[in-house]
Amino acid sequence: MNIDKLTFEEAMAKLEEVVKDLEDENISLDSAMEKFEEGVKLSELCLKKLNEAEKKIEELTRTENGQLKVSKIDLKEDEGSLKN
Amino acid sequence: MDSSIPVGTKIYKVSELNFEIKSEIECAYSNIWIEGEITNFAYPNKKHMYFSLVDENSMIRVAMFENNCKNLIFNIENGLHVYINGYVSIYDKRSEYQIIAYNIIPVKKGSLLLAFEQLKEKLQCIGLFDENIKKPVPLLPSKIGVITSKGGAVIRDIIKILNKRYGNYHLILRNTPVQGSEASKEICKAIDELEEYKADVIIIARGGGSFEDLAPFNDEELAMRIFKCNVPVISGVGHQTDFTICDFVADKRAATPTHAAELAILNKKDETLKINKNSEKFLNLITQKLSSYKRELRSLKERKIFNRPETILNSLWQEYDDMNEDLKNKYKNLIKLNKSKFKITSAKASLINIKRRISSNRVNLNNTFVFLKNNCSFVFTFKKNNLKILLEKTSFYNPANILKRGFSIVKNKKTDKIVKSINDISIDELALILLKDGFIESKVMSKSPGSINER
Repeated sequence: MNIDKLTFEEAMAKLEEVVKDLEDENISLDSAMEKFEEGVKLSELCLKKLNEAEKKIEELTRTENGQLKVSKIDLKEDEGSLKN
Repeated sequence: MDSSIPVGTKIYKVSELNFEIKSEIECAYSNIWIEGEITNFAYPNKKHMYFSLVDENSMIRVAMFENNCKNLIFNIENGLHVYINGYVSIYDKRSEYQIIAYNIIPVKKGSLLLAFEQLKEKLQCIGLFDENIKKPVPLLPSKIGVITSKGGAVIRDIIKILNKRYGNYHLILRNTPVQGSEASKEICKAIDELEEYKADVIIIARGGGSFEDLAPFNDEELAMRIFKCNVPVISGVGHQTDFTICDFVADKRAATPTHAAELAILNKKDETLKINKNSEKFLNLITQKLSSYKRELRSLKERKIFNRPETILNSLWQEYDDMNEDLKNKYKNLIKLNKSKFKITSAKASLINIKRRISSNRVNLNNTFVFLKNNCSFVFTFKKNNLKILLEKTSFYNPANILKRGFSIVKNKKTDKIVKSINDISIDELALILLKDGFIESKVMSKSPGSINER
């Protein structure tokens, strides 16, 4: 299984599976160790996916020659509701 | 009856009369409102509408021409109770009077609401709202497209929620009007562009407003565009109580724009907690598993075979000795038996016969012996290393080796027993002192008690 190619949802589902597999008392030591390693990789991947993106707020427009263009915009939260 | 027409009487031609009546009527009923129920509705080629308007007792024909038909926002259907604004005219060819309608409005509810209900029913019938065709909304979209007005409060509310839930999100705003006649077309275009830009989810949002204000979100074209969109769409239009066609056709309906933002991305804190909980769980599980294996290993290690192999070997030796003894006894008995048999049958038996019997018994014995030996050698192979250690130990304690290291053995010459105590030999008795290369005969001169440690 290529763990790096999983989506966040898939990785989370796999992580739950690992826990379930390890809860099985009849699992052999070898496969338990294998599952454990998989679990470590999966939780690392999930955490990485949660934190890898960079915050960006952009506006999408179409230029006159039909090209899509994104430009950063500065939109603050609503001033009124920010004060809390 | 008089057959002549009085002089000067006006004689109408048919069309002339019709024209005159038409002018009169059209002048008298040039702008009227009439109420009734629609029947016999026909709309050939979607150009002009023809139907009858009826009440309990009477009926009148109604025509509505193309220009006016186009302005109707709801569909005309039989049974609809309506007010019609128009004028009365004559259809000269049949001398039939009828109403030419400018506008039709429903009696029971507003046109917009009726139009909304009709569109909703139509789209529902063709399956646009089916739950099983709705696309799942990703938990962790890398690009969140938002269609709303850049100047409104909605986009700021959405940003606020995203900041709270996730922080490092990527939002792409496509600014559109959210009200007025151009809004739905612009929103369709915005969907095209966000789809092209490969957004992972699209939020269509607008704050609350009147039913008229929300009209752009009840547009059939927009509904079809959302339906065909490859990217999952979340609709957050108006307040909790507002429903729009956009809400029904979207993959997820949010009650408010704020709610739409909540549906668009997972809550990082919750999700991190979930990951950590799972990690903790499997860490605990593997630790448990390992310690149970450790326990098992420890109890194995504590078993005699690993801990004190010589005890097992000793018992095997003992077993071997027992068997050997047993064998010897059997052999003796056999010889005895043969001897007694020989006595009884001495007359008949020949020496050769006896010899043969004995040798055959010997073969048996030998086989048994070899079998035993093999069994023992199996044990030896099995525990070769331990045996080696044992042998080394044994050689350490071998008396010959002890002598090599400078010790000597004293024997009482008379009794030939090892002198372990001063009581084992008397004065003037002869003692043999065994050394590594021979022995010395000596005589006991005197004895004095005491421990070696006291010297």
